[in-house]
Amino acid sequence: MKALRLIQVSRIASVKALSVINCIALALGLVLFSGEAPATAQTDRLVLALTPPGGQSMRFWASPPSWLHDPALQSLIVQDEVTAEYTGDGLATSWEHNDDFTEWTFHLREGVQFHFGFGEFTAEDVVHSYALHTGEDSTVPGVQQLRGATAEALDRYTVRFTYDSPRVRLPFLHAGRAVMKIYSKAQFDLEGLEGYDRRFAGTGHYQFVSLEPTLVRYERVENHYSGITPDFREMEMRFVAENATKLAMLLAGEAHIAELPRELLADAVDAGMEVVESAQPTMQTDIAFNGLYCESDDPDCPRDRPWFDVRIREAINRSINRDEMLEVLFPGGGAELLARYAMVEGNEGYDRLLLERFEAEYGFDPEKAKQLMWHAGYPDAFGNPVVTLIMTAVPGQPEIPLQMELVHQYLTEAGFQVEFMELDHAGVGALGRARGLFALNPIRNAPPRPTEIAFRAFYSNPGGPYQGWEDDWTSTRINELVNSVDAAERDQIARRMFNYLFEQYNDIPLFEVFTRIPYNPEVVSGWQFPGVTTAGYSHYHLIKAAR
Amino acid sequence: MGRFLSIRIAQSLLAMLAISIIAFGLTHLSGSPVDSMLPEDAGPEAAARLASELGLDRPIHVQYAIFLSRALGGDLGDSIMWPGSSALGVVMERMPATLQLGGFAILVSTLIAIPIGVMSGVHRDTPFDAAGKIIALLGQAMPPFWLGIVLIWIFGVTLDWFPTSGRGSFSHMVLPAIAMGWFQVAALMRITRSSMLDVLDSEYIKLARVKGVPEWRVIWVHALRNAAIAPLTYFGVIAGIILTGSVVIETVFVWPGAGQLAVDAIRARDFPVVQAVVLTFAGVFILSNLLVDTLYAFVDPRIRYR
Repeated sequence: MKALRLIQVSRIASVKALSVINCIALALGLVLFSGEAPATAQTDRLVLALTPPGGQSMRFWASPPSWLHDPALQSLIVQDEVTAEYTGDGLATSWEHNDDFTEWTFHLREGVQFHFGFGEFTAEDVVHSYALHTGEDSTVPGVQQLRGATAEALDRYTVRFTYDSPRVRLPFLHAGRAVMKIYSKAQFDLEGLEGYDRRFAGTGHYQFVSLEPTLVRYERVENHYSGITPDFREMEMRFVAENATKLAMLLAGEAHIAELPRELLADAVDAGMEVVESAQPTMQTDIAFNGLYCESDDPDCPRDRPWFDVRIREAINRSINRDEMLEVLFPGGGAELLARYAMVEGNEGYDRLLLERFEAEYGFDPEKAKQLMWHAGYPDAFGNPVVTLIMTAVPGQPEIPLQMELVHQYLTEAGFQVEFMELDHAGVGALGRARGLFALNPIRNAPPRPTEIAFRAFYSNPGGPYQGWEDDWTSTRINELVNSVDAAERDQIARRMFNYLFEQYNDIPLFEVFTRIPYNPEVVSGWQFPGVTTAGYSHYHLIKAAR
Repeated sequence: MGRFLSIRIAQSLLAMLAISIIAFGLTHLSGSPVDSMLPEDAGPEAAARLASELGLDRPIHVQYAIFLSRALGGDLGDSIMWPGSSALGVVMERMPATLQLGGFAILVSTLIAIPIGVMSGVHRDTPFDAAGKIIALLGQAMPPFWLGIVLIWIFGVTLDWFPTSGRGSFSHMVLPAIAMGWFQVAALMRITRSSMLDVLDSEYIKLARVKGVPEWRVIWVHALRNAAIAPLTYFGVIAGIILTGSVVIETVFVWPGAGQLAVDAIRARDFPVVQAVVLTFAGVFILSNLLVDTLYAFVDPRIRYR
């Protein structure tokens, strides 16, 4: 709460300073140049102020995770804007797999036209896009799971991917959090990659107009195959790094939608803006006990670190007051407590009992934490008793620094020796790859993935940068899961894993977070999106104009 | 004069070489671009393969030698964040915007600082002098990024006089130029003021007054002409400060210049672009100082004979 008070004091001071300077400015009273006219309710041009994308390449596969291409480039599968279920309303109308999930056949929609007159979308475009996205220069997160297939056009509107091992959750890679977007082969044949670099032809509701250093422009496609025509004729997405500037743009009418951190949402609402929220949680947040590389005979297993001991892992979990953190980090709502990282209702292995057990086994209990520390012999029983917390900036998660400061405070009060290690996001990855990330590391599951994909990302990827937990039992179960094609068996394996990890206190589950975005109600009347992308938002064609 | 210029040019080249070593060393100390370029789920083998492809597995002095030999030919490598574009090309695309804003900021600083400095010198220890000092002090006391945000809130949001951000019309330049230039006002004003005080005490000014030359002409023509030499030397420094200041101001005002590019490139660990920005900024800074030194030598002949 000390951090919260500091913020409040600082805000009051800022407001006072602003008031004084405001008076001075008003006294000046003369202006030479008029500013840009604020957008009106009748605007045809929608402006979004968004956090700059990780990369500004026109090549989706060679760019860090980015929303830049989303309005124009589609993946094969569309997800429902409310339920997030896979639907046949997109480029693929249906799909099926063989018994062992090694062959996936997608049936494609007929009559879909690429932008700029590059002809009809066919199976050849899918094969071409697969080759692009699985090449050596591909940097799309998740590409390792996409790779390894033979992609084959069975006919003009049917494509098949054949793997040598099961890919039970392949549709996820072709849906909202896409690993592969569909580019036009006809454009490539005519213009090469340079053609994509100038303008990429997609099949989305908007088509690309221009990419400038601080913005990207799109215009709507009339007669889209979906039958939906966006309300706004033009859409301009501006790359704005400074949050105060984003808020100023929104309040001045220069942007109609702005991606703001939660502490500024209240200011936007106070100024008359409204807030839209994703239909589903877009992120699970967690702190991993990183560095537990403890499969048999692994020399990297850190036996001298306190969190090697399960009692200390429980003590750390019990030292943290999650309810208080929730109030401080998400004062306007939009987040809920999370009982088990990577577990999602409706996905394989979901176990409601863990939610019921959570308060009793993970709840805030400083006395219990102290007892556990005493039983574990903390600090004397550990060669290096210091608990290291990673302080880093994670895109799309601006509350991380405050979150880690609060955790630091809780652990200090519980009697732990705590230190921060400041690293950028890439630096965390580098240390992880070197299997040297011995620290408590803030991670996220964004958007919440299917169970198998989450397990592979977080618990079964030795050498992966965000891999924090390796033991024989977990590795064996994940191998079983990956190779199982029986739904009931898979569900049982996943449930056992969730229970095991829960009882091992293998991490610090924190919150399920919904994406919340303020908009100007004079221009925008609503926006329905499910929350299935890394950025959180999507379905730009469903942004409704105020009438 | 030729010898003077030769020495200055040699010093400039030496400075560029030192800067290239520092830029190269610091960017490599900050981590490997491989970690930004790889997908999150890539393992150590993929990292080693990419590092080898980029030549990052070679000894650092070998990497620097290759970098320097290419840089001498104008090749600073290809951008990582903008695949298919050269690093220098990306920077050059953004430089006009930075130079436009920087030039306007210098103009704003000059238009505020010189008149205040002159009048403070003329009306020494009066309320006018005190007010001038306060204006100058405010400029140096307020961090430019904070001032920028305050200006946006007052003039962009509350009063709606200027756009809050972006580049387009002339009005887009006003707030970022003030935020960038105000910081320089203090130093420039103080130099002008003290220079004016020296000049106003000189014999030729007294003679001009005795001869009945109008006071405004004494101050703004006879005195300022000589007093302007000292502020002139400061313009080289201003150019450097304005360029480095652009990194923050362009980010706050979403100004599409090389400063904002630097921030984006640092975030993405785009080494070639970071190095290209640093070397370009350093080049402009050194060139402007060289120009000022040369001008100064022309204005004051004693300089070139030292």
